[in-house]
Amino acid sequence: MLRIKKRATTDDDTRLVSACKQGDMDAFDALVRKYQKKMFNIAFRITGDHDDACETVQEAFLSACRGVKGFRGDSCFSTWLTAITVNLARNRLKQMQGRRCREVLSLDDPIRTENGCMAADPPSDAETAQEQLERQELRRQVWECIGYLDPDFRSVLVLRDMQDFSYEEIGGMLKLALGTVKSRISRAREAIRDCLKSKLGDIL
Amino acid sequence: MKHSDIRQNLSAYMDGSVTPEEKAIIDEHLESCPECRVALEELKKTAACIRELEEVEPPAWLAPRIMEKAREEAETKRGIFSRLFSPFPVKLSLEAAALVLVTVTGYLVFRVAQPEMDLVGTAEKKETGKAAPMAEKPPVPAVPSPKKQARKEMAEGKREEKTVTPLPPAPSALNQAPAPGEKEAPAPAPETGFAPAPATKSAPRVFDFPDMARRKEAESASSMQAERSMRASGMADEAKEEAQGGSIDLHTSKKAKKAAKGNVEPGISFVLRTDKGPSVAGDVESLVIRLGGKIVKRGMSGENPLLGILIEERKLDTLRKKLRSFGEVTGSGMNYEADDRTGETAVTIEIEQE
Repeated sequence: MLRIKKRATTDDDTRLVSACKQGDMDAFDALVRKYQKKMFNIAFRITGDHDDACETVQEAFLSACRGVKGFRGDSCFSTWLTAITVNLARNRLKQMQGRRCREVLSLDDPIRTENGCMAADPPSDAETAQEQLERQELRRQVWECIGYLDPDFRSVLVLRDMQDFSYEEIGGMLKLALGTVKSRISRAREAIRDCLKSKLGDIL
Repeated sequence: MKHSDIRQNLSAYMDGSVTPEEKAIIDEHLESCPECRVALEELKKTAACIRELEEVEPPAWLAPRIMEKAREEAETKRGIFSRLFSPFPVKLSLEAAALVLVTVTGYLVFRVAQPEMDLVGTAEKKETGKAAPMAEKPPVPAVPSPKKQARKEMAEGKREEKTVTPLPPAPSALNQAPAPGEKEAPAPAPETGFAPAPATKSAPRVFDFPDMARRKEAESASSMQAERSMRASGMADEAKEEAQGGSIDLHTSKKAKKAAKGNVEPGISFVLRTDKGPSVAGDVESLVIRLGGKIVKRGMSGENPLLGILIEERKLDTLRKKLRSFGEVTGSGMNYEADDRTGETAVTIEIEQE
C-alpha cells in the first residue's frame, strides 16, 4: 500500500517537474506547497532556528527552481530537494556557529525552545497532565541534546531518525561513503544517549 | 568481530543496514553479552526519543514568499530573452537585416581601403608632389577608413621630416599585389617601398646592423635609429639618381651612427634592367625566397615593379650574382662586401623592363 502511494507520488512529481522544466510556475508552486513542510522541518532541526530555517527553505526552493532543467531524474525529486536543503542548512549552521563563537554569551539570552517560538501544544485526551508534561520535558531535553551535535552529525541524525532516509540515500545526499554514514549515525545516537543520560538519569 | 566492533555496528544493526553475515555474528554475540544488549536497548530508546520530536509547521507566509521570489526570477530571465527576441518575427528580421548591412559595409570598406594600404608609399608622394624623403609611413595594422587614411597621409607628408615612427608591417597588406588600375605620379627615385620592421629584439631591424653586443647598447635609441636610417636610405637613392655618389647618404648615416652609437649601413637598392618580360618579378621573388629572404613589400615605381625584401647579409653577394642572370644589375650597395656579421638587411629591387 505504502509502495503504491510512493510510486503515485513519484509519478506526480515527475509530471510536475517536467512542467517546471517548460517554465510552468504553477507546477513549481504545487511542488513548493507539497514539500515546504518537510523541507522546513529538516532545515529547522538542523539549523535549530526558526528564521534560519525559513531562509534555508526559501533558498533551497529557489535553487531548485533555477536548477530544475539540470535535474535528470536519477533520484526522486524529493530526495534531490532534500539534498539541496540539508546541505544549505548545514552550511548555514556552520556559519552561524562560527559567528556565535565570536559573540559573548549572555545570561539574558533567550532559552532555546523546541520550536524556536512558543508553539501551542494541544492537549490530548489520552494523556494525563503529568504524562504530557513529562513527554514535553523529554522532547525539550532531546532537542537540546541535538543542539550540542556538530552540523555533520546533526545532518545524518535528522535524515535518518526524523526523515527515515536509508543509509545509501544519506550517503548520496551528503556525498559520503557508506561507512562514514554508518559511523556518523552511530556516534550521533551515542552522543544523544549520553547527553540524555546525564540530563535525565535512568529514564532510558 | 570484537566486542568494540560489535558496539560500533549496533546502530546499523538496529536499522537493518548490516550484511547477513554481520547480522549473524552480532546476533550470536548479543546472546552472550548482556552489556551489548543494554547498549542496543538504549540506542533503540534514543532513536525513539528523537522520532518523538513533533513536526513543526512552517509559517503561512513561507510558500507565497518563495513563489513570489521564484516568479520574480523567472520574469527577469524571460525579460532579457523577450527584449532580445520578442516579438520574434519582427525582431529577427530586423536583426538579420542589420547583420547583412554590417557585413556588406565591412566588405565595401575593406575593398576601398585595400589598394590604399598597398600603395601607401606612392600615394604619399602624390600628396607632397615632389621627391619626398623615402621614409615612408608604414602600413597600418588595422583596416583604416579611406578618409582617415588620406588625412593621415596628408599629415604625415607635412611632418615627415621630423618624425616617423616605425610600426610593424601589417601582414595582410604586405602580401597584397597592387591594384592594376592604380596610376602614380612619376617617381624620381626608386623607393624603399616597405615598412621598417618593429624595433624589437627578436625582429630584424631595417638598415641596422649592430653586432649583438652593440645591439643591446643601441636598444634604447633603436626606433629613432631606424627612422634616421630610413631617411638616409631615401636620400641615398636620390643621390644615386643625381650621380652624386652617396655623399648625402654617408653624411646622414653618420648622424644615425652618432645617435645610435652603433654601426649603421645605408640601405641597399638594386636596379635590374631586363628584357625578359614581366614574369621576371616572379622569378626574382622565388630567387629571394630560395636564398632564405622574405618579401615584405610589392609595389610599383612608375611602371616598374618594385620589391622590398629582407635578406641575410651574407646572401647579398649571391643575390647580386644571381640577379645578373636576369639582366644588368646596378644600384647602391653594389660594392657592399658581405662580412661575417649576421642579421638581415633590407634591400629594394626595382625591375626595369627594357
